[in-house]
Amino acid sequence: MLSQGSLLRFTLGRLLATVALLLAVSFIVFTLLQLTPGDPARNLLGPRASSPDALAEIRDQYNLNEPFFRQYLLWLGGVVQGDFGESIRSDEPVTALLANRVLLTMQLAAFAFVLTLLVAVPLGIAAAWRAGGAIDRGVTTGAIVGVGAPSYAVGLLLLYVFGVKLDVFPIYGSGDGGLERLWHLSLPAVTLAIGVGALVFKLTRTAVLAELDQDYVAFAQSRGLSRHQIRSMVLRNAMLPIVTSLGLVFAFLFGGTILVEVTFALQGIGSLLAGSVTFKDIPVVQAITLLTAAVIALTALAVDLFSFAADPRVRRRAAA
Amino acid sequence: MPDSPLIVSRFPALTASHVSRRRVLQGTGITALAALLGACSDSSDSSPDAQSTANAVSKEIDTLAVGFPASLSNLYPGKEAGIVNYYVAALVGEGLVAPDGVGVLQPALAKSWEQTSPTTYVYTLRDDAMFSDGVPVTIDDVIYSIGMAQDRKISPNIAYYWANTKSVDKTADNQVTITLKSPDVAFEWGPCAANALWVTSQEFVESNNGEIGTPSTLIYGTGPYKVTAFEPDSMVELERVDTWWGGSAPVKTVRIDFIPEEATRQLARQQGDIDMAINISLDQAQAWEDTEATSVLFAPNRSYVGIDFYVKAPPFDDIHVRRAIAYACDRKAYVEQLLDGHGEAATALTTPEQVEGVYGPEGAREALSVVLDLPYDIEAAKAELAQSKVPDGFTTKVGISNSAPQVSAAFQVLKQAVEPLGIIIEIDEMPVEQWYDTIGSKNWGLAYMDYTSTTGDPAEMSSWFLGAYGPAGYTNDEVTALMDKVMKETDPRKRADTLIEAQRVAMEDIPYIPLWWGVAATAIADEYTIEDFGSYTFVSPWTPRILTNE
Repeated sequence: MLSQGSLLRFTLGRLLATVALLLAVSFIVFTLLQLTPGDPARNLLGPRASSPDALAEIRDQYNLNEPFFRQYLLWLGGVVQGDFGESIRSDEPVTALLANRVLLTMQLAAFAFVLTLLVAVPLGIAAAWRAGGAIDRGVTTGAIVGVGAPSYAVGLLLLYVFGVKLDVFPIYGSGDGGLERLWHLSLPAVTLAIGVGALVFKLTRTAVLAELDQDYVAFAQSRGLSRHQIRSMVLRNAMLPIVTSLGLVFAFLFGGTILVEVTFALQGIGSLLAGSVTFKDIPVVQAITLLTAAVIALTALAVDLFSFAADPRVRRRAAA
Repeated sequence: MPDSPLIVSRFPALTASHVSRRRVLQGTGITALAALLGACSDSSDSSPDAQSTANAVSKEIDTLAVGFPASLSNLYPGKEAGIVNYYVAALVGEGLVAPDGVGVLQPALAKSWEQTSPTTYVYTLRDDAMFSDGVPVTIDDVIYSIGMAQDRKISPNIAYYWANTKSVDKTADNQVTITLKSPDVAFEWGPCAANALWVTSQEFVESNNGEIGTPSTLIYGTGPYKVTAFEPDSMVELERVDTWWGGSAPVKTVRIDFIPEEATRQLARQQGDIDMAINISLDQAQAWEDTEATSVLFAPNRSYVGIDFYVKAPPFDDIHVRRAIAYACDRKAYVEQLLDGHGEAATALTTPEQVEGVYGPEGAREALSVVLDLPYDIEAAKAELAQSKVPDGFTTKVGISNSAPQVSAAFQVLKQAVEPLGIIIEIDEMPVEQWYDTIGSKNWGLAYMDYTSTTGDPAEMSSWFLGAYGPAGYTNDEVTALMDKVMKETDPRKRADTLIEAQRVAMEDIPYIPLWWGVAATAIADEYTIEDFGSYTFVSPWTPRILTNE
């Protein structure tokens, strides 16, 4: 059996690897931003008369005149001390700029995640259980549409039907918190959930079908175990791939809200990232990509820890 | 004359009556506001929009919900000077002067002003100027605010406007004297909320540790509204105050939502969530007009779209190449077919609205037509190219912002027109910020400019385009001398004449090809209309112009 010590070592090792990953991501993104065309100082002044002096002064203010490595180190030095710098575009501290937006994107991603969990997983199980049946055929066809439909188009369609024609949901904005926030986030969350839900449905269906094909199921049936007993055996075994995919789905949702945020005029980190990348607002892009990478890495860690708890085979492999 | 009736200015020619209007406005209160609005409405124009205001009256409106296409992340335009920042700032803050409906400067916080020498301007503060909480405005507040505007760190977007300032002095308890290093007539537009000054108080800024315009500090000014809520990139809410010298505005609450996606903004209007959508995308104008209970108002917006050549980059260092391209530009067709007539074929860098004050609407167009008005003539283009260093043609590229679909369409048409001549134009669409980088770059010999003048100064764009850092990299001593005269000439007529002459001389070398002067469009609920909707509507307190249809 795995001792508590080795679990701790595993977790610490993963956390260190996460820090190394974040460093690598920050450096790669920083390099890519340097390579993209455009000049933040020029963007700040816009298309208007600008003397070389004025441009140089703005570049100085944001260390843009420094050599590439020094720029990166200056940025990194700040981050280590908890200072993510100031947005070039709005002059606001990056942490303040992100604070509200992260909350909104988190809420949106969590809402979409819960919807996915509550709808796609049970449907996937039901479809696998009666593979080839009406539910299976119907939902599988729907899922193909769900996976294929661009979230931008789905969002506008939902807006038209539920916002304009039926007038039950608001068209844009994020509401003032509490239930109103929930109401405002409903259509965007459904839009997101349709895309990833279709994926989760297919993964769940495949995982359950794979288990149903196993010999132990036929054996259990031949021994006369009840449907309920067989179902709990199958589901427990199918859980691992489903949970792994759900973990990835959450990470994907958190980093993939851009189109939905723009369509529904939601001010989350996705819409901020889109604007900041084209503006070359380096401190903001760095902070958002780091945050997203951290969420993805930590979700993956949580999924692995869950596998530890849920699957004795994983524990044995780690102990070996 | 322009082809579209919508483009004809609704404003009467500026005559001596405008001089007297300035005096009228030196009074205070609502009478002044009414005079301002009334004076601009005596148009004899018979366009549908103008007629639609006939049965409209100024009535109390509880909440006006407005949808903006772009968002704000800071309320102080010195920090972030997008055009929509100006629209919000115009309701909350003021400068010393403000433009009226036709772009003539009128008193705002200054009750009067005077140019006492070519480099000296004296402004006298009005006695009834108050901040939104009733605290009187002092001349020290004004001087402090000018200091903020001059500071490149606090106000990176407007500081350049004050670069020619030598001193700002308090010359009496209610008087500030601004001295310039060298004469510059365009400076008059500097201390204006539509350009480079918003008066706030030193105490307010210092109590917020020098921060201004953020959600925690908001903005503190002297306009008809105060900000009650601001979520960056999401919404801003304004509440009417009773401290404005100009009286009480008819709209009590203005709620502005930033809705970047045009289709979503249309649905919001269809649903009645917003009453007005400012600066709608022109290629969506028809869809907006088809939206239930919605009208679209068009007005020229002092915008210019044209080709820039970087004249030091081959093959555009050859005048014959530039002239060949100029002959291949079918400006009238661009306006009629690509813009649906919402625009006007351009013949100069200055837009007609900027010189209508001196020449009148028709006179302005006639005066500007001398600058560069080459006909669309492919045979002539062929002949020009044959005389060039590249008689068999060449391949070039142009970078176009993906927020400018009409420009892209125009270049597609141009591309097809010059292909038989052997000129291959590769069109590279890119985000707007990358397009900035193509301006004045030797790597982009063929580029374009899409510029909307902030001020009503007819020389605003020319002083850049024909100056030392112009995007064409073009210099000409005769033009420089003429532009120097433009900076100093205080007589508006002589100044405009000289400016047009400078452009005409420069355009003999074709560093630029004006394509069209643009319009802006605003969609509004049928219930309301905007009085004298025009180029300057949203850069001075604009809610008093919102009328209710009866």
